[in-house]
Amino acid sequence: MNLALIKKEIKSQALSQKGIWIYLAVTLLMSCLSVAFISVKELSLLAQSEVLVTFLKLFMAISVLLVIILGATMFSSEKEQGTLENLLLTPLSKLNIAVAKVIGILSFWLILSLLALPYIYALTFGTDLFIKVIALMYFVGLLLVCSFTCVSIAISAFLSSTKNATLLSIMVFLITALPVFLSTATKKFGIAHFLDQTSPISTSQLTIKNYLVNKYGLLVVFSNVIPVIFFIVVSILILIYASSKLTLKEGE
Amino acid sequence: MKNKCLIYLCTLLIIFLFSSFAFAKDNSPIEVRITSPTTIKDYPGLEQKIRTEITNTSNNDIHNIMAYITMADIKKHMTVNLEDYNADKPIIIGTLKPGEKTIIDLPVRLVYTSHYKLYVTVSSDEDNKLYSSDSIPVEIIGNSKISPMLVRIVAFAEPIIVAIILLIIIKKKRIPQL
Repeated sequence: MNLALIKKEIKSQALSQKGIWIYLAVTLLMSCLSVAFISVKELSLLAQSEVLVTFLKLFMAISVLLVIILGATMFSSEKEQGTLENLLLTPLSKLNIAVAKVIGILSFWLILSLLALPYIYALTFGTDLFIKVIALMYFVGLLLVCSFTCVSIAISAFLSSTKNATLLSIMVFLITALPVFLSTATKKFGIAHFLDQTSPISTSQLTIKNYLVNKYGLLVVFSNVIPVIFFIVVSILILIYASSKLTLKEGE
Repeated sequence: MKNKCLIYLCTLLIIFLFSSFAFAKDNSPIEVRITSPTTIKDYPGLEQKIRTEITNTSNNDIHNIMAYITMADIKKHMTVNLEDYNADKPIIIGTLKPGEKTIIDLPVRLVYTSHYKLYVTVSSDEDNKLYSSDSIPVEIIGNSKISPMLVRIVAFAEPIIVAIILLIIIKKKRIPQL
């Protein structure tokens, strides 16, 4: 593993000016939501656990969307700028390059999660929920973020256009998030039920709700999270395959 | 005197007829009654079994009977999505013979803070009528300990800190260019 490449990726993703602009936008969004919880009459009636479920769902949705957009630009932008050749000529294996890019995005998400901590502390104030929320964020959240990072980087390795890679990555996200948009009655039967039970997005949301609101035990929570674990395994395999296929075609 | 008696008799007859007609109208073939609990007041996350007594008060068999919980949020003036409360699955009772009584326990997990009216509804495939019990009051008490001041401090301070960091970085990047 090349540390210099990892440092470069962290610097270009997590510590860049672009990254800080994103942090600012996300903190503004989290601030608006937090203030809404205490000022909007309807929201202020929610129990604290429900408040945290809403906050965590929003944070995870933003995280996944951001890592997808960043991941989709990873290899495709290198191809567009013509810098991929230099990278492939280094003695590093293709998988090592892909892993360095995954670490770069994960470090970006790590800073994002650190920024969410004060909000979580303020919203869990007076309860024992802080540790539970943190555990959920760094377990379920990290699994989701890791999976979608791998998928979007794999897509960017396959495609040579940043625009196409971003669009396709967002499509993958929307397909996996499809059950979230379906009505309760639709999700009860047939293919919609299957999608709801297997979608990493809907099962991660169910995990959050079951742990914080329904107060189910860890066994139920772990059984809920199985599709997310399956998804991360598949995503890693896709990334390994995509990185092995990373070659420069003639004319690029 | 005769006339007065006749008027009294007619009045009594009319009252009797109307009261029996009204009784016949109220006499539904299924009687639904929540036996326990009679009221609920607790914190979110409470699991509760709603014990309900269903009686066939008609002289005929009633087939394909099912019972389910219905809840109305009287604070928001909305019915609730019972899937959130794990109460969306009806209990199938089947057939009730004339005069037969059955007792069922309908599970519900009360998760959201509000005031509700909870009642049990029974339906049969044989007709389009629904038979509901009287409602019981449910109060799920909010246990929010959120400090609005703390939330406001974080909500205003954090974006300012990030914005300052951003400005410092932008300034640092500009200096070498000058």
